[in-house]
Amino acid sequence: MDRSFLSDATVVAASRNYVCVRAATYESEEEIPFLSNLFRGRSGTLENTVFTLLAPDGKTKISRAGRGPQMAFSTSDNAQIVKELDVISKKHEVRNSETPDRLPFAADVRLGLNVAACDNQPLVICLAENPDDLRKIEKALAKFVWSGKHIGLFHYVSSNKSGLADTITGLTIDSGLVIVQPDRFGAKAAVLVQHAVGDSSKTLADTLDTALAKFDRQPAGETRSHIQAGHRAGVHWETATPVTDPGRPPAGGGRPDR
Amino acid sequence: MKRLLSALLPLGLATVHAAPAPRIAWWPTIAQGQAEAARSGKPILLLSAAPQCHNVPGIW
Repeated sequence: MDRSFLSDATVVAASRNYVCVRAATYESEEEIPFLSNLFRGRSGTLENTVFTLLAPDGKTKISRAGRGPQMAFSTSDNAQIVKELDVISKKHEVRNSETPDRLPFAADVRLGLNVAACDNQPLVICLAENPDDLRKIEKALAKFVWSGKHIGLFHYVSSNKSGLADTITGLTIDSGLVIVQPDRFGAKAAVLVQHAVGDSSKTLADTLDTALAKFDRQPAGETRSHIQAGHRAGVHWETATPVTDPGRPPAGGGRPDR
Repeated sequence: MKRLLSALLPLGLATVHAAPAPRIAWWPTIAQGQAEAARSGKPILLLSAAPQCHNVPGIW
């Protein structure tokens, strides 16, 4: 899939009329049957990427499905795809235009760090010791997540402090927001800025701005060199479910099938 | 303007941070997206991608 498609400004603008979901393939047992029903490649199995549009019922396909938008819309012309996205979104009447008061929390810190590293973006960790405190943090932060200048610029996860001990360096607060810079592989991270609950010396917007200013955006890496560097560093990601893309190298190593 | 920026970069002003470009705001799980679509009435743009390549994380 052409990754530059997703950062095209016209695609980003068109995306605001959709609920955008980017699931992590092979990282949720529950999602495998749903994704497999939407699209399987020539091999008949779930491949690394799936793309489609769904009706607001969350189930009905309203476009073809494919490995990416180019396959689903049978064109590599971004302008044409954006046109199709606009036409389809206009067929659906928005029932509630208020922004959500929920945050797009990753399943856990391990996956959140990985995905943030993939996107070369900071990860916001909502740090709380109980669900009530977490909900307060979530509500306060939600208005920055879904509108305004910070939309789409961070990833999010919730945790308690003990869940971060092995992966995050520089953490000093017990509850609040911790925004971190993942390393190249999303295995470890360092604190960029933290904002304790009750700290009135700065606003949440200031905290987000500080994180963006401090974030060290890495130059876009080339896939082969990233893989080689990962192997050299001994980094190994175990997926939650077996990888069924036929491009996966055979057990025991060796060249992939294609 | 490009010439001005080119002239300033060697002076150390390259550290000035430009505002990040707008990006898509993703829900990271299908269940979260389905709940939001039911609430808002918006259709879903669904993508699934593997956040690892040959078991090395940090890359789509």
